[in-house]
Amino acid sequence: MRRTAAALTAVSCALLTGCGIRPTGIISAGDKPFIGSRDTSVTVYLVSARERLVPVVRPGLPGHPHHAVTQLGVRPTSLERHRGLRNAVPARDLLVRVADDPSMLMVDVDGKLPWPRIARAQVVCTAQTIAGIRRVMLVGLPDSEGDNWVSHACDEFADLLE
Amino acid sequence: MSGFGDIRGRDPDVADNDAVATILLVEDDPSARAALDLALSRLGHGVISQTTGEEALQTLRARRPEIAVLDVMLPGLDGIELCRRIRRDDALPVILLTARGDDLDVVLGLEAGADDYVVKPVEPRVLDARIRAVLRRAENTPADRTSHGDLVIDRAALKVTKGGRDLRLTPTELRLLLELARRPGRALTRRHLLAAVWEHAYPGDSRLVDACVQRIRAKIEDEPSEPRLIETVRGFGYRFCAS
Amino acid sequence: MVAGFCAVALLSSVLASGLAYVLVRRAILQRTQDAVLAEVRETVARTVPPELPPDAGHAVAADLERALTKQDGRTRAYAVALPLDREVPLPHEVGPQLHVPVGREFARRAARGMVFQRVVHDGRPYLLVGTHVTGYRTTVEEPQRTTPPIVFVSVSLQREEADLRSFTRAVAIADVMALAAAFVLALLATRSVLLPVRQLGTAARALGDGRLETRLRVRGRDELADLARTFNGTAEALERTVTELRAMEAASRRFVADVSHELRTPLTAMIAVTDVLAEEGGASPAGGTAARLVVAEVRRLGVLVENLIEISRFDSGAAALVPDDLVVAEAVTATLAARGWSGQVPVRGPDDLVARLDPRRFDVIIANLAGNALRHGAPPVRLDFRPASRRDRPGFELTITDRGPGIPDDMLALVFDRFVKAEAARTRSEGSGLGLSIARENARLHGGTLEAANAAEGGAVFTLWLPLDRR
Repeated sequence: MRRTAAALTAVSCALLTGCGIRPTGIISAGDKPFIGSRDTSVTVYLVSARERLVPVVRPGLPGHPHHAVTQLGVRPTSLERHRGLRNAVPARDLLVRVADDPSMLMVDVDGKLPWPRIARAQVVCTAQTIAGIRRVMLVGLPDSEGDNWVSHACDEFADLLE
Repeated sequence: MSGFGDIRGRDPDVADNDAVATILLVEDDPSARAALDLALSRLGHGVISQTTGEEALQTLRARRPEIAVLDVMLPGLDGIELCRRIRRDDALPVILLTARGDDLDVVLGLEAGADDYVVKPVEPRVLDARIRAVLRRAENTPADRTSHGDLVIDRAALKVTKGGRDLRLTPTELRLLLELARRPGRALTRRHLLAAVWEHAYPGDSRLVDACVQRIRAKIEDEPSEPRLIETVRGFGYRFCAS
Repeated sequence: MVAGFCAVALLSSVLASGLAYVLVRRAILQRTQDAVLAEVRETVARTVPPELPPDAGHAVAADLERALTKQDGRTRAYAVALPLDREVPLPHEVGPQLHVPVGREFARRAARGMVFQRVVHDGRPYLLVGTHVTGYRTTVEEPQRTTPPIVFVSVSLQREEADLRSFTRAVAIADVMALAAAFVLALLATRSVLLPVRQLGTAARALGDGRLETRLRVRGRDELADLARTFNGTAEALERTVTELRAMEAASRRFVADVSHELRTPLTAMIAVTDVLAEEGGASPAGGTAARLVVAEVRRLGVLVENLIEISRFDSGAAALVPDDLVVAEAVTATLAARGWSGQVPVRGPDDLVARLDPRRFDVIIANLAGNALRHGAPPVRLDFRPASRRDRPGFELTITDRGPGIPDDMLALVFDRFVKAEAARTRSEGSGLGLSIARENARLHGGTLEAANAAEGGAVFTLWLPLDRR
């Protein structure tokens, strides 16, 4: 009887100490996830050696509809560079937002850097490749008359298109 | 009943060899009868031996014994019944010879009016002493005459009258009444009465006293169940009340 | 027996619940892990495009973190561009991004495949998952710019832990209830076993106490019923034997009584003529001697027969008390005086002690004790009495002591038995051998006791205790 009780106590103690969630080592959970989303693409205007706007196709980024404009903040790829293309946009970070009017895209730019006309053309024309966007406002980059709230369309830069 | 056990009661002193009595001895066993007859005769008594109760009753009418010694176990009319018959119209003292050990004989015998009893086998001297004690009760009383209400005790004449009517008391009853009346108002123990009236050596049987008191009450009390002359002192003895 | 039942019940319920606990824990954790892994796998596969735009890693990482982080804080995610030429940059501090720190080894293995690990951090359990993706396209020249980020997800397992805790509590409660139920069941079960055993014990004790008519009720057909039947058979046989023995003993006692009664009549005749024989048998010296012998032996026979009759009256229950109020001192003195022993036995005791006793029987007790002391002990023989209550019953104690050799130890227990004589050599005794038996029977009849012992200073001590008033 006494021995049984002792055994019971021992078993109970063992069980109680094994309670709760215990840590494990690193466990493999199988292969890496295989990408399941489909290919999308965007059009980005770069500048050719003849100072003309050249449309190039880059992979899209799902969930980021204005990604094409954002892409103007990065260096051209090696392939684009081999084709003699460059990016005239001086800013690294382009903040894109949609205005009250859904056809108007607002792009916040850093106005302290010099923005050549062709760089503005790059942004406006690239933005206008996005479905539903008709005009683009470069916030923080006033025009020659100092007006900060001026919207542009790609047509204004028809002379720069090839 | 004297002397069960290893040690027997010391025999009472044998006295008064000159005093002789005529004894009616009733005993059915021939040897016992002959032996008791012989022993009592040698002690100076006149013995009339009888075998049965019926014979004894006839003898009583023909001759006048002074005391009867009756064996309890008799064929036909037994000793107790015989005692009752004698007591019906006679004050003759009776001593029972009880052979059996149980107390029933003693109780019945005393109720029947026996004056004393001895247990068989009995030493002749013991029986003789009892006989003499019984007989002495009729003698040697100071002569005087006292009256208690309508009860008059005449010691000289050994007579008790109640309302002028003579009461027939046996010598033992008379002696006990006298002993009690001698000291009116004083309680006397059974031991004392046993020694004084029955002359028994210690321890004696106090039932002799109780039975005798019952018989006296039946004769002298107006209402024997509510005695007023002889009172029981519980756990002690009796007291005579001189109203 | 009850404790054994309970132990077995406890053991089994604890084992069962322990097993259940392990299984449930595994199930709960497995479910959570599977859910988390599946979600991570699915989210990563959905969020990462097959080909990344250049330098969009941080945007994808932000998307991944957003998609994987839960508002309730239970799940946090950290995604970072996978550097190809150096170690994965890990979060500097624990908290804002992940619940737990990520080890180098984990990060390395996460870059090669999907891995997970359960970690306990600050006493709380977490699940850490790490993975990279496969199936993307990149450029040969600038793979760095288009490689998808690596993802780490930490999930708090506190909810699972709480579930387990409540499960443990439920199991513990269930165990306690099972134990209680086991206890009740054990009681019920053992009752059916123990009750007959207990009854058997009671019956056996009753049988031992002399209640031979004790029987058990036989129920059922099991071993216990068999035992009860056997017990009943034994008790029956015992009762039969004892009844027969008692009948035989009663018959032999009755025989002794009858013989004694029958002896009385011839003894009456013999004793009646002893005096004649004693006085007149002496015609010649030889005749005188013979007569004296016969006289003495006839008297002895008379005493013996009377004692036998007395004893047989005790045996048959016919002995009755005729009580009277006795002054003990007077009664004792009278008894001694009647035997002529007054000078040999000094009496000490209060003069006014009164007891309700049968004078004749008290006389027999005292005479036998004093006679015994005078015959077998050496003087001085002393008699003392004093009031003494026993078991709240008022009474008095009377001792008779002598300075003789005392009673041999092996005789002490037998001294009141019939026909026992203390000295083997004393074959010829004045006593009948019944005196002390009769004395003790008389004491018992009064509701008292009579005991024998040896005094420390030598000699026998007989102690008589009698109640003052017999109830």
